[in-house]
Amino acid sequence: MCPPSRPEGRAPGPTATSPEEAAWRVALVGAPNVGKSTLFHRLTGRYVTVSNYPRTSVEVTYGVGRLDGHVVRVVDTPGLYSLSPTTEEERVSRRLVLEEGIDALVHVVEARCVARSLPLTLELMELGKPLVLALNMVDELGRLGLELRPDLLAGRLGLHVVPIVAVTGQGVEGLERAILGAIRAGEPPEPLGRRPDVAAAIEALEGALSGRYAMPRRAIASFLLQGDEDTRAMVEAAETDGGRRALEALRRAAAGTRDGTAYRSAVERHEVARSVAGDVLEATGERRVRVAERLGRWLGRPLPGIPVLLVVLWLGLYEFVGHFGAGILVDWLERSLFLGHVNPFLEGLFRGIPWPWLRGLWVGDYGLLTLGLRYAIAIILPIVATFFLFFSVLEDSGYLPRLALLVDRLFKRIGLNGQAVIPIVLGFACDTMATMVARTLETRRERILATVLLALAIPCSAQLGVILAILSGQPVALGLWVAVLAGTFLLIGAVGARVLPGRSASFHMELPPLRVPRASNVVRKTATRLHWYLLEVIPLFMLASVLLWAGQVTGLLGRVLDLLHPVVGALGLPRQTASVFLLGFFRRDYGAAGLYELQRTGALDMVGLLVSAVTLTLFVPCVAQFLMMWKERGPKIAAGIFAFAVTFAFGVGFVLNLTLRGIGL
Amino acid sequence: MERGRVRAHGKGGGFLRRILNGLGAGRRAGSTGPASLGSAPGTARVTLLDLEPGDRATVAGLEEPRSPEGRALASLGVLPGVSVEVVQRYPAWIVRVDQAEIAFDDALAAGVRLVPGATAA
Ligand SMILES: Nc1nc2c(ncn2[C@@H]2O[C@H](COP(=O)(O)OP(=O)(O)O)[C@@H](O)[C@H]2O)c(=O)[nH]1
Ligand SMILES: [Mg+2]
Repeated sequence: MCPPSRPEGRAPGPTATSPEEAAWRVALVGAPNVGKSTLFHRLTGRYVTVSNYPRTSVEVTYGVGRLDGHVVRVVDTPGLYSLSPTTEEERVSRRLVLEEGIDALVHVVEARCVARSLPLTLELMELGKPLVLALNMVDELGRLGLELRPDLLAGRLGLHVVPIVAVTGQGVEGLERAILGAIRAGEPPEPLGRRPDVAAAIEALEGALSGRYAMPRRAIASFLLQGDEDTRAMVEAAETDGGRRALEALRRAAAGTRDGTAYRSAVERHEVARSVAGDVLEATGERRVRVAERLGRWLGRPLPGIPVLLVVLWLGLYEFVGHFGAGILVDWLERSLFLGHVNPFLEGLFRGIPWPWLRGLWVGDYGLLTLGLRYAIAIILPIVATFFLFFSVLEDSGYLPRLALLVDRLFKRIGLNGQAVIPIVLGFACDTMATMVARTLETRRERILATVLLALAIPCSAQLGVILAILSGQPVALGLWVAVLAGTFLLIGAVGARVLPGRSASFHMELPPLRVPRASNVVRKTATRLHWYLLEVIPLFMLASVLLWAGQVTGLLGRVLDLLHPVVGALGLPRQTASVFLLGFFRRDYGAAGLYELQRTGALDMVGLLVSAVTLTLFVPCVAQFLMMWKERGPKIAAGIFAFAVTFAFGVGFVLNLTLRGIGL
Repeated sequence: MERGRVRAHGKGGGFLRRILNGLGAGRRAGSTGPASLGSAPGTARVTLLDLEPGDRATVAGLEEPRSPEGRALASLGVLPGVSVEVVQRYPAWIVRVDQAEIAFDDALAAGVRLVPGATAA
């Protein structure tokens, strides 16, 4: 069923251009980790676009498939537990579900969890759109000793219900037929199991609505009754009296309920769901506990969870990203490929340019190609790619939620909670990306705290790679460097948590079962992140190279360096380090690489190396990160963090230098 | 069953904890006025905090359904009538709810009121 009138569509993502091309649009809905994306790739095949939902960091995937010769556009939503969103993912998912022009919804659920999942089915049934219920992972039922009766469930709900195994494709054809059938019939399901008083309240509210909406007024009334703010704003805009009549009706309907109608409705839906699930899902055999399940439990306990966590980080960060990515891959790409072949070739190519200043833009010390491109491809790319690969494996295996619950108590002390491990760990890949992802934290206070910590104490992978390489032969220096950073992280976090106003959110998440990561998922996730990185960050890096070149040509660079000389002098460092710090602002990795050069030429002693490594890591974020801070948290906070980081970094460097030389190292 | 205790906590800390629980429950009952679902006047309230790993119970209600904690619990499916089994308490709570496992902190655990008289593992 389509709403009687469609106001101009302004939906994001692909839209049909002409009636011949008009494609059906299908949205996959369901909780996180139920197999939506796996099913999505079964349904769509090749034509897939991944985009961030406008003004969020939440990924949305669109694809095209064919059902019985018909073009179907499928959207994979990030995941939601109910239509009353509590997180950013849920808000985005809900907007996608409610979007106009969606011809059918497919609710994907884990078969073993029908009782938990049906409440959302009941909510979706109220939206007035054709709906199909896909019971995924039926392959797991036998092991759990459960038996499910899809036909009975279909009868109870009045819906198409299809059992599938998304990973193998079993049942997917049947699902496609059911989707087609639902779209062709165009019949929205009949809402189910509402208490008479709630039904009456919804009916009364519905009568008070007269504006034009993209979904049935009944659904609007139901959302209003649940206290939904977005819907309220929608009603105020759509009604001729600014929604006065509707809100008056709402007040009358909601009066006298202590717990709020959202809660009451949720409780009711769960009651209905439990009763239905009790009839269709039966425990017929013994539940076999898998190794993965035991392992999952162990990993969530301090012992052996925390030692395992340290081993995982050591293997992943130090061995895989540090040794393999930043060591072997970088060496090969930089030495053999760039310094050996690409750069000499480029220099030959540009030799014809008679003006040295112009030639310098492309192939000089700060040349866009010889320096900018070389750093981007030979140093950053392999490091960031290996990191993203590592992160995607953690993500796909279901390990991240265990990591989150292990660090929750520690993170509470710094004003965050376990959920913040995701931006913080991602910061070790790219602080710019992590600053953006920090948007998913629930409160403003947490977003600011995470941004400060990312700017100050979390070295990005480019920096990490080079600094690990420099300090790797020096266990004492490496230990001190780690200790200073960890101390800063905890200290600044604890102080920040005290001085920043507001509240921090509590910790809660669903724990998916541990699974062996699937290569295709891991590759897809890594590719998506790399794609973003190359598109968003690399151009800024190139811009930074141009600015450096301009600074050099105009002599401005020299003057700024003169200003910095006394500062590095105060840290007991030679003059050349000034340019390292300046480069470090333009690009974190430039700074670190500059340090590498100084170490190779022997200009720095052990203490000097450590002091400059520490200062450089704490020192201001790179240009890209600074711009992201500006964009995400506003100019005031970005400027504040910048000023604080510079002062703090040089302060710590100064004290560290005095202390180390004082004790005679 | 007079007092809605889930089970004697035995060993050392149990007695102290019972007293502390009693004080907390008394204060809460006084401030929220007439008791609702699942707790008779004069009965100590049982929350998730009273359970140990392995214990099972049925949820009677949420302390503050409209708070962010209450909304989070509801979205994870912790609602009246649902049965829960505690898997672990530390460093964060892990609770089995209908074939799924969810994790949360003490603030959320304190907001889950239970039907008295649940069973130990
Ligand atoms: N055993 C089994 N695992 C599945 C099935 N479908 C998906 N999975 C796994 O479930 C996990 C989550 O899948 P994904 O598609 O990313 O879920 P999403 O969060 O809903 O998009 C992945 O590790 C999948 O390999 C299935 O039918 N059976
Ligand atoms: Mg997905």
